[in-house]
Amino acid sequence: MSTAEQAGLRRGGWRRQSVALACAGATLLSAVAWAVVTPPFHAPDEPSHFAYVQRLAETGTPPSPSEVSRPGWSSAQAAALRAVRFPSVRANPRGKPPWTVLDQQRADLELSHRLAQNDGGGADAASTYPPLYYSVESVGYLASDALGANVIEQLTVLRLISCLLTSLTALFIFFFIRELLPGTPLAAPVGALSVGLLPYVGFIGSSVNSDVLMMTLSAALFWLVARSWRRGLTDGAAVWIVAVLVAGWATKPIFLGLVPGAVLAIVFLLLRLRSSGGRSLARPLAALIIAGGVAAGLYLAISSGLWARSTQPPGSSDLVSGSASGQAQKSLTGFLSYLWQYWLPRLPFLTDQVAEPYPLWETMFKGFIGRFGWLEYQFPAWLYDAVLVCWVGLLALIARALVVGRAALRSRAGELLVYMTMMAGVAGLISLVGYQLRTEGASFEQARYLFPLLALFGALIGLAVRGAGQQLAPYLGIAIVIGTGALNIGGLLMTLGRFYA
Amino acid sequence: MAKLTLFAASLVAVLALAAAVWLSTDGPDTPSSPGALPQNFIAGIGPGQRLCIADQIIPPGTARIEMTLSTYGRPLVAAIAVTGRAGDKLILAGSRRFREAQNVVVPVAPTANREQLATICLRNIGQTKFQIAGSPTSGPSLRYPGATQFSWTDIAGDIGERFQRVRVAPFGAATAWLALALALAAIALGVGTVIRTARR
Repeated sequence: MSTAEQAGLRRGGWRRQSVALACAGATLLSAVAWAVVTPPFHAPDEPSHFAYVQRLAETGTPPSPSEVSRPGWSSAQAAALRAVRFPSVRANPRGKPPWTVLDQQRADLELSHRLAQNDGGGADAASTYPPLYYSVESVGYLASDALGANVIEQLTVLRLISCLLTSLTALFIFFFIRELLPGTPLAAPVGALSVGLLPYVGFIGSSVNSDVLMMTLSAALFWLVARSWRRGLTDGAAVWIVAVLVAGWATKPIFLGLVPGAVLAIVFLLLRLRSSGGRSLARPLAALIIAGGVAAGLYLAISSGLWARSTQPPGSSDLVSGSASGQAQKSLTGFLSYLWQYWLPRLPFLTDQVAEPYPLWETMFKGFIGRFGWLEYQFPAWLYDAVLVCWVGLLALIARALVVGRAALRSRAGELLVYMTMMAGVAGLISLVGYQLRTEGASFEQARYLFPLLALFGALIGLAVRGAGQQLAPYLGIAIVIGTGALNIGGLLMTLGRFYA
Repeated sequence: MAKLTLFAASLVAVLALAAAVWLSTDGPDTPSSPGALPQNFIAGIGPGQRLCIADQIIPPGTARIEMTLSTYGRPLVAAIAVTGRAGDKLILAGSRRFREAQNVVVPVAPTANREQLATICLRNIGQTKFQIAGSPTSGPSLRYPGATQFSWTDIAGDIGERFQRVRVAPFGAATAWLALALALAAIALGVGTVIRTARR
């Protein structure tokens, strides 16, 4: 290869990377806007997640669900929550945060006291979660604490770290779609931007919440699987896949919904390696086993050994073992019935177990487009209908892309099966927890639990761009980016209106 | 390239126009200050008794005070007084009859351009006990609606001013609008990326 050809290749490579970086940059800008606009602690369970980080950073041990006598919040955090008038504003559409000069003076006085920061983090909404996300955030906490920041300033620093992770998610989604649809250059940027500029992703992705790292790791897993499918399973990729799986396990239980699909992918990739005949299975198998053993061993040693924490997903064993803890209605058939009617229209002979008439629409679709704060405000109803109409058009384009590319689709049936298994795994896990809590009278499902599947959402958008054909694809791409961005601006304006108008 | 840019510009123009129309429309009459979540009825006040809620910040422009009372299903008579911190009487609503779970609206003289610390007192001058809606932890739920409906263009300055309190706002009153500018920049970067990719 001549020097000029090499330089041309380098330029092409740099251009592709710059497009990926631009998508991550746009996502970062959107997430930072959300981090600034959302009032302190007004994202789902944010006080509990902050308390977890503070406890871990201050004491070196994560909270434990059994520490019921210890306060959920430290004295310093409790003062900050009082200063922002959290109890009366949370989930109360009529409650407004402090906004006058007198409010500021009172809050300054409250925040000026150096109160204890290590006396909170008892049993709370987040205390059952694994510690990886909080360990990452504790670096930001300790750095800001060393600079003398108060709780509200520390929260802002933690939010900015979340924003960085969210932009990394968009980057992985870009790479995933590029591996999936290499013949459609517009698919990757439009797909990644349609995720990165989505208002709900900006809102959750800029908050202090373990969902943020969970979605980054999920997107990374999808990319690694797609890359290995196209280029073959290398030793390095095998190590990374296993490392991401263990990291996801150490981040949030809902990530485990992806595991059956990932295991299926590994089996397929190893079989393909064997059938290609060129390489021995021994090295990638050894890489998988050693990396898995080291990563899982390290996690178990720290979590179970050092901190004596359970590494099992909270409350997941009742149904499988059949030992329903006092709630008589739990059964396998009950769960299967619940699973069906949550995601699909209820059949006439099924006992009605779901409160909403169409949970897929009411909770998941509407929530995914945008539901903010402590779920107390959302877009006007007509907007969700309008987005649904747009999606009908996109589905037609997706169908066209699948029909046109059916030959290629057949040759990639195994890969498709892997993604379907991942989707079914996440939906099944959401319903498993939802079913258990619903029989105990609580409601669980929220659209953010679909975030492990964000990469597939981006891929569907990419597929629609492909279905539009070469002539129309740029116009569709621009319309999708501007439309999603307009929704994002609308969500931010609504947030300003909810809290400050 | 030129066609794509024109298409993007047209789309932005249409959306900007729609946004301008929406933002210049009057919104609902919104409360202008915090209120505890009215979770349930608290603080029973018997005949002749008085309940005073101290340290209430009444924001500028407040036109009335709202609260919800439970009369245990029977009509009652109560007096509601709002006094300033130094004892200045802002309003004396006088005796009024109330129904069960009625949203009680007490008009006050608009507090004009400055916020005031006030103590709001309710005295039961009837024969039956009543309760006020609020939260067991945060106290009675009082609301202070403004005098008029708002439009975004009218209150844009106020939003910026209010936004900067008790949070990280490095650019003061401009912080909220700069955050929106970031989100607009994200769209511009995204559209630019799509156009650049399509050109190749």
